[in-house]
Amino acid sequence: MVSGNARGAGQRRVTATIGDVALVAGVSRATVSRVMNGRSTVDATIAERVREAAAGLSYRPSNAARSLALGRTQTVALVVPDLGNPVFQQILRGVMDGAAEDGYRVLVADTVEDDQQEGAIALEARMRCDALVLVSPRIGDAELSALIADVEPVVLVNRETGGAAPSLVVDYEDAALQVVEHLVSLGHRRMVYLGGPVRSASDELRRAGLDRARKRHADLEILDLPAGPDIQAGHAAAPAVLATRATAAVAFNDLVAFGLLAGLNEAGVAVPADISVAGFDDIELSRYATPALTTVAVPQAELGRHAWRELHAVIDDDAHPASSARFTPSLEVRGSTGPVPQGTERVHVTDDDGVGVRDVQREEIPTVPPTAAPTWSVPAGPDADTVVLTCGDGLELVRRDAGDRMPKVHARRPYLHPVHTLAGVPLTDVSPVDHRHHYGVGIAVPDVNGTSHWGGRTFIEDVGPTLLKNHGRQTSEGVRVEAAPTSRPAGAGAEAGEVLVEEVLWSDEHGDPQLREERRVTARLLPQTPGSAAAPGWVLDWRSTLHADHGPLEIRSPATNGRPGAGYGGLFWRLPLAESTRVLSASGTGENQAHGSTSPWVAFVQQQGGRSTTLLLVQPSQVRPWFLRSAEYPGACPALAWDSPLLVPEGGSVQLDLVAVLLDSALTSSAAAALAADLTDGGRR
Amino acid sequence: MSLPKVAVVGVHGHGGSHLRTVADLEARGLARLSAVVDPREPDDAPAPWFASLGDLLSADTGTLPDVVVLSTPIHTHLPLARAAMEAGIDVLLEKPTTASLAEHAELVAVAERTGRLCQVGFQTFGSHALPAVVDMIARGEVGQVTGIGAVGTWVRTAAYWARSPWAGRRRMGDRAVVDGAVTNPLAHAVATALWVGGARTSTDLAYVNTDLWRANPIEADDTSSLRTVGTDGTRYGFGLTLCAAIRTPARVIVQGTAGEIELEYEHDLVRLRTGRVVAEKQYGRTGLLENLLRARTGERLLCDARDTGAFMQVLEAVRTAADPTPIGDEFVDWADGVDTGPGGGPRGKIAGTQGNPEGDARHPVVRDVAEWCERAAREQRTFTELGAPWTVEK
Repeated sequence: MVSGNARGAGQRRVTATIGDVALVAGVSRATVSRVMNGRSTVDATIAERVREAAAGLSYRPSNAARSLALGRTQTVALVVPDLGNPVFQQILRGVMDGAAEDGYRVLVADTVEDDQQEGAIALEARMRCDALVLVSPRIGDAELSALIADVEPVVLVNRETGGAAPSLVVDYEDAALQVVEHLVSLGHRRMVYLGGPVRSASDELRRAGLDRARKRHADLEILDLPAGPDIQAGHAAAPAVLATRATAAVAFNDLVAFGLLAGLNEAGVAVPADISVAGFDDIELSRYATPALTTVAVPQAELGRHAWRELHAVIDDDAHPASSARFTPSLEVRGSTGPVPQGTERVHVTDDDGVGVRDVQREEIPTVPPTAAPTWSVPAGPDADTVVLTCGDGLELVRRDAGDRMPKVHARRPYLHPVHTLAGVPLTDVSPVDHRHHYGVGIAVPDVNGTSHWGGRTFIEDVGPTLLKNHGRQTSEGVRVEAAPTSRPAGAGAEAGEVLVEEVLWSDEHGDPQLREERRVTARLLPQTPGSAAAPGWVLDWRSTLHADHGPLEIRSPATNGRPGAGYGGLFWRLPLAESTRVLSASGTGENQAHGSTSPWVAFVQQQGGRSTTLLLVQPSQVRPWFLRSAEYPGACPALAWDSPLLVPEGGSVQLDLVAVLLDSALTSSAAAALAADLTDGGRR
Repeated sequence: MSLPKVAVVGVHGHGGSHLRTVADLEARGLARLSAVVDPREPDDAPAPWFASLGDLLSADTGTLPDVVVLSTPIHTHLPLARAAMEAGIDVLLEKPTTASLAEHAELVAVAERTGRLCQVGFQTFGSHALPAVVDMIARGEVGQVTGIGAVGTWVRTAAYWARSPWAGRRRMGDRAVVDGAVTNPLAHAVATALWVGGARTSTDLAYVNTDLWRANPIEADDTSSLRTVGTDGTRYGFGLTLCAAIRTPARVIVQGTAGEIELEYEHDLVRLRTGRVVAEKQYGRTGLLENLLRARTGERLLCDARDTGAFMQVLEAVRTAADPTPIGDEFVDWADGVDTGPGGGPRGKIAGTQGNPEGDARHPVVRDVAEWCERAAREQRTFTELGAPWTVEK
């Protein structure tokens, strides 16, 4: 019997369902089913009431329903569109865990995304067990209503039914909104959505979320690119995604995102430097993608477990299921999303004949250098953890990240990245392939009382680098912005700027406090010499005091632990790789001259894509030996424990200071020396 | 099969909704309205009218109802319920159960002596959300329960306090009335939280601390916090006010070591928040009259008068406490319209503390009261213990 015809468009339903009888008789559907099947376990007066109600409503159980047993098999079936999808595997796991608690077993039926067969497969599964969980059914609403009447008891996952059966749904609309809001907060305004299967209800929900985001942000563009539900679909879409020149891609699910990541990697496109990628579902693999995938987490196994709880309540005469349950996903921000690339051009191929390229770049350099002092903005919301330094009209110079999302093994710490020149060239790198635990600018120390605040492996004498469970954590205890003190002898036109003040607690691998750090980061524009043609620049001034509030400190480095020269540890600046990097210092030109020297300053002069930059690092007061690399990777820090451990008694403190100048030009040694002299604490600026 | 006969006592005001419920049960073939009782004859009585319950009980035994619904002032609950049960009639009694713990004990004794059913009209006890929350707790969804609270931040206007002679009174002559926030409008918040935590009978609470305040010129409390501990050690906190800026759905909050459950009992809505999942579940509800009718053939009563004993312990503590303390004018703003919350109609204007605008829609707003109620519920501490500004002596 095809009961799908019973309900005409806009007409009253004429055929009563088992649910109607249950309602009128005031019993559960299961009880109605038992009575209709002539089972003797039902109280006589209740059975009479059910029969009266059924007669009053002219209820006739369908052929299918009449042949179905209830309570005989202690088995339920899970019907899914595609068991190959990890999402459905996790739902199955949850249903099985829940059912096992109540002594039930679970059968699985896979409809292989074939909506023609879905009803027949569900009915057949129901013949073999007591009840069904229907996951993401693809059939139409009318067919679904008919199917529910035939196979009850049933609960639905990822599909709403208008009350015909309990349903559990994920708020994918909100999920999509969360992803887009995250990308908008990173500066993205042109995105592309890789759509899922056409008949998928959850694809429609995602699109509804995208529409809400479009309404919120007038300047936001979200392009639509049909893809599909699997890895192949994502991989195939990569060229089309690049052709849109979008700076961010949102994929229908994590599998599609994986495919896209692979396609982008093959095309030599960096994620997230060139384009950000996000998915949905947070399947287990997404944490282990490279880079780890930003996604919206839906606790699929929990969804399955709760589906069982509701199904059990339907089966159980003494319980009442929820009529509907809605699950809220949460955004998992990982490595695959990042700030929007500065400038719109993306370099896919290097062009040694750089005339045309140079023309493009000249446009990006602001023709009128900014004159307003840079300002910090600290977001108020607890979720918005990114502090941004901007200058003038939206020119972003620095992002400060709390480091919460770093892998534990990298030694979590607040850091600055990206740090840009005024022309928008980033002079920091984060988690690069050569050293995954390098993060922009931050305080990284390999050995504080045996705890690594550097990340990665620890050098052990006679053993070599060894992965230990000794990674500490620097936790921000509060960030605020203060006006910069005006006592600094200011040169002509020097802007005072603002100070970002941060209290940082250093804890060891057990979570016990080690020391308290007081961090003050100031930014100001470099005053231009009148009449000078030199490109404008800006100054980042970092002062930190480590207080030994929790006992004495012994700060060591691999050098003090048996590996000469490896004296790294301190306020460390990691630069990006470039086509050419030249190191200058008061001790001469080249890495070997600077490394280990007590030059008051060092400079990295880099060439990349036809443009020149200089990062000048100055020790403004006490000068420590420089730890410096250039050939292997560009990076440097004044070394806290160059050749002997640094001991700080309880209650004592140690000062870490670094002043950096970022310029969009190649500085000569003499110019660098002169500028550095001005920037020491006794200097002019 | 003869249908059970139902009489409704008190048909004006809230009693009207009972008449609609009976009509609905009639349509479903489950009951029949046999009489209405009210000192004032209704214009259009749907069944034979009697001026008093005494008149009904004195009438021909053939017309005696099987069930009476008592929707009358609180001080009449015990005498009417006793008379009905002694006449062999089952009772649905509007909440709050009785005016004192002693009266409650007597009511329970009468029910036991006569063998009649006495259901109390805490409608939320018919919500399927309640057993679902208890099941979630039992299954450890939120870990070990650390405390149970209820937050109610409602708005009641001057018209509300003028609705009857006993409105806002603690006593009338020598009779207890106890028409305050805790024991009447927000009684469901208290009763539901206690039920969820397992405190049901009058021996289930070890002690009750009250902290009663008022911003209205009334005798009873309109802004109160309570702290109580069950004999099983469960901690309960209540932050309840009728002087909020906007009305929000009242909530029962179960806090555990691994998450929390929020129950919006007016809407049968449950929110589960744990480290693993954030979910919102919608439930249905069984009517208490329908349940009472079925209990006559063996089903369990959902809100047996016995199971309101813990609530009555709280009512007793409120009744016997010192009169509520007025909240200082400097902490109260007067609004001249009702803001029913998001999507609920025109937004009211907050007037200055000076004006005290006239009109029945005016209502006091205690400053930041919603935040203090939330803290009282979540921390199981009273306003005074928390140091809410109006409790601090100058």
